[in-house]
Amino acid sequence: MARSSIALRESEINGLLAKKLRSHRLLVLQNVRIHPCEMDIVALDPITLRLINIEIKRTDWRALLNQAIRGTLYCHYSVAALPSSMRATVPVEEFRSRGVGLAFFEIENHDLELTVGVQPAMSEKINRSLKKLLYSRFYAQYGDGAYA
Amino acid sequence: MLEPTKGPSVFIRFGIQRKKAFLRDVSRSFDGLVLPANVLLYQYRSTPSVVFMCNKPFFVDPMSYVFGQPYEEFKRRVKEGSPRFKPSFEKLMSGHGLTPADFLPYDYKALLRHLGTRGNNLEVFVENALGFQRERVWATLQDASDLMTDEQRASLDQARFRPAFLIPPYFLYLPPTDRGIPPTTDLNSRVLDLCWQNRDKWGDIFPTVFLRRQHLDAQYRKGILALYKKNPFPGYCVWIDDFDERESTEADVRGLVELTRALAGDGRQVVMLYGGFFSMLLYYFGMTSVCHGLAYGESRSIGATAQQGSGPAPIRYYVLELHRFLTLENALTVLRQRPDLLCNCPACRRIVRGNAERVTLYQEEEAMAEVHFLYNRNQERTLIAESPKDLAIENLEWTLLLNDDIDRITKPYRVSSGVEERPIVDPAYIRAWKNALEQAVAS
Repeated sequence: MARSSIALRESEINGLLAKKLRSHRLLVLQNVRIHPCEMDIVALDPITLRLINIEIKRTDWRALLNQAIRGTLYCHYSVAALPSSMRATVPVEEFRSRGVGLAFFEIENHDLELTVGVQPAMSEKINRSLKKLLYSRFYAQYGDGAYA
Repeated sequence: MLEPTKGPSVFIRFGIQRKKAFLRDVSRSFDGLVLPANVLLYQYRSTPSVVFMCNKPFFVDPMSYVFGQPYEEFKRRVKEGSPRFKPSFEKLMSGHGLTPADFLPYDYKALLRHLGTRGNNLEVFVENALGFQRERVWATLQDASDLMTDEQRASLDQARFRPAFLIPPYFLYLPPTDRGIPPTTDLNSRVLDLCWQNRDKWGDIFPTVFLRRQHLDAQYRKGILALYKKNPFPGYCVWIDDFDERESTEADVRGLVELTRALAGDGRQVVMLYGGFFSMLLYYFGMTSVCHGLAYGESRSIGATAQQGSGPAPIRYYVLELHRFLTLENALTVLRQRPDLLCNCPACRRIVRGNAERVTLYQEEEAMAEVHFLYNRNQERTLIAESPKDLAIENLEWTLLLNDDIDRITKPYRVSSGVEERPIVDPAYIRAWKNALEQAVAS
């Protein structure tokens, strides 16, 4: 019997989202641990060298927003991803006012569909050292491919 | 006994074997080592060498309090097959003369009953606990003497490799209730009596006063002192469960000052097992020494030992002016707005170079973050050693005055109604300590 989308674990959603991002020629790191915290997904555009943090949660938008705000220290853009079933209940303005993007996902036929709720703003808080730390993680995984 | 020092002495709690060489290299910045019994008994061959390498006084924390608390977590952390205790917990039990297999089917209450029953169970427990503290380091170093150079072998002096004092096994103190004296308090009392009777055999013994912060209140203090000062031991260790100096209230601090004063009466030494700068200020009231880890462990809760671990402590940045650690992210946010709080120690001159943005480089420089912390801790100690208490309190007043607007630096915190901007640093803790110390001086 096919599983409903709600039954997917965050790690499974993470995998589908990473696959989607890779199909758009972005380089992707999953579960990036910078002790004691962890970022669900960090994507790098090898042409513009822009970093994008994506945090995923199934229900707790407060925790998600908190994590995504943290991501603005590390990445140029930070996006929170929630199931589309939460579109009506999420206070979009909380995300917009903090420059955090919001995306809604839906799983159909083992594929993940994304729709944009809020466009992320370019981070003004990004820190050079933390950004470099992430670049080095990409370099460790992708080598020279990290820089087109 | 501990050698007298100018100002409070600082003891570093040893935790990770890979830090041994680092501790040797920075040994000028601290006065001694604390060896937790679980580390000493489990890694019994490698741990004693840290004492040899640092050439510092040490003592062993017997960690016996874990037997007085639910320890089911230690049973779960085993591989498939027949259930066992976690190996380090097994070693800790064996070290105390307990047979792990006997207690596996039961909970901690059975263990406490075992210790409390008539016969010599408690005597065996105490003898073993004191025995491994006194013997283990010296015995291991002697065993390893074949591997030493002639010069090293000649330097093996027994007095250097025996602990500065022994700590009797201890449990959390709980005040008597309508139902009588709690078993852990009763055991504490009996352990101390046994130690006092055998003091000629064991030498300097420092009982540990381990209690919850709510029992610092005057109404409980009399009972606590009656128990621990019944016999005139030469010194005491103090551990207030989950006592974070940054979270403590004025009343808590007053209680701690009075407890310290009472314990230190008649020239007794008092050692704070987990503390930071503010505990060092208790030096003016009789605190001899303060212990903490390398940039962590300035407070500890009794439940922490049994919690599932989440790896090593994260790297944090110590802000001297605020006498507290900040996570690197919080440090970045605070220092961006308050670059005057940046430090000028050798580590920061190399890593941060006066640029707040670079503070996050410590993420990749753990040893330098520790050097930065030890340098600042040394500064704090020097400040206390060279200032009378009035001046130290005045310094706190200045700290408060110069940082009274630091609570304007906020970050979003998750709350039930959403996300709320809250101060990263609330200077209330500085005010609490200043007021409490002022009152204590006046009384």
